[in-house]
Amino acid sequence: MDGLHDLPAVRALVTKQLTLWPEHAKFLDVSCANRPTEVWQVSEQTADLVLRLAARSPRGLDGFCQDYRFLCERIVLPEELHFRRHGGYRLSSFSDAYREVYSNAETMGRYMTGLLVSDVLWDPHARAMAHFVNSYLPALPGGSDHLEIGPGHGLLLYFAACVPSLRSIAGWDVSPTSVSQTAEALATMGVDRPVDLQLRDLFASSETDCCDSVVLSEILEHLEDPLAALRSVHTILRPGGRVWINVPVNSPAPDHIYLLRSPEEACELVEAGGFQIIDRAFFPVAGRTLEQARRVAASVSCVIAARRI
Amino acid sequence: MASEEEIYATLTAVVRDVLMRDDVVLRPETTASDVPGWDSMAHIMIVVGVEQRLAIQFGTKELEAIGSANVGDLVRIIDAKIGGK
Repeated sequence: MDGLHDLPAVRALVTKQLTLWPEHAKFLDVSCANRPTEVWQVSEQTADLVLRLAARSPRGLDGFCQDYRFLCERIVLPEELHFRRHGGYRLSSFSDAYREVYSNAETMGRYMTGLLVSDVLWDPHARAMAHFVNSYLPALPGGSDHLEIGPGHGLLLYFAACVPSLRSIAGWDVSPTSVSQTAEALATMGVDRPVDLQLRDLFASSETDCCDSVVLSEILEHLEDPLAALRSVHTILRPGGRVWINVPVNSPAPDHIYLLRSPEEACELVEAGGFQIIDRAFFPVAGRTLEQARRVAASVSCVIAARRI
Repeated sequence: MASEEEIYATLTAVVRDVLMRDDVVLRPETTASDVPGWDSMAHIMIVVGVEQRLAIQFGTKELEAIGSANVGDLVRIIDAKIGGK
């Protein structure tokens, strides 16, 4: 990781992480090895946001990095073991995921914070973020109304709010806790334009043709019926409106209940929802090529931009 | 029952398959950190690959021991597992 000299925020995050977890150096060496400059630029912005959020957190950056380790060792690896042994995700219903994960505030908090850090440290997450910032957002027509479903840590809403030509920015979530946490995160990150955060269920929405751009980032794999979610997005999008989807395949986690086994399956799902794919990018887990990842069923982050037909 | 030599051969084949590297050579003192690509995710794939090839399943304590083992230790753990299954 000698090349991080021009990336002070990334360097600060990596240095802290390795101070607390030196055994992770080998993974980070691989994960940081071949990122293009344009991806690093977004990773640096993301790392800066993570540092800002950590500075306002009672547990500080140490807590964030401990949560990242918790994510890797306690959340992901046990599920990976199950996935390898049994060839599928451990849970398949929302109620089971709620009972085991969503209803446990402490676990959820650490899980979400760990994921926030992973957007810098995990190569596929960093590349997906860069695709959103460098490819999707600049291609949106001026005056677009932009909505994110389940904005979580708020990073993608932050980057959308940085695009002055977007007319409005909104986020929907079904959890009051998540809505308030996203609002707090956006304020901490310094978003200075209105972002309309609402407690709303995509499936219960009666609105039609109300936005031009929808983001579903790491949402579909948490649903029992992702096709129904895509059809709901189709309904709320105006004709010609766009959707940016980030969905992992072969990516076990305790709350991942819908298994997609290949990038092609992900694309077929999006097309079945009534969309024409206009851009796609597949980012395999660090250290694997896409073909290698396919051969061993390793995780691939699938980024798909599509237009409502 | 497999001999120690056969266990080494099986383990080497699994590691090469998971890491997609035909040049991996395992010695008793080899650790995961000595082998490019043998990270925590690959480690799980190697463990499960060994389980599937030898029709065994490691318990929690064995998995913990394997986590910090060198190849020689790992072979001994596998040998004990095969002998006791």
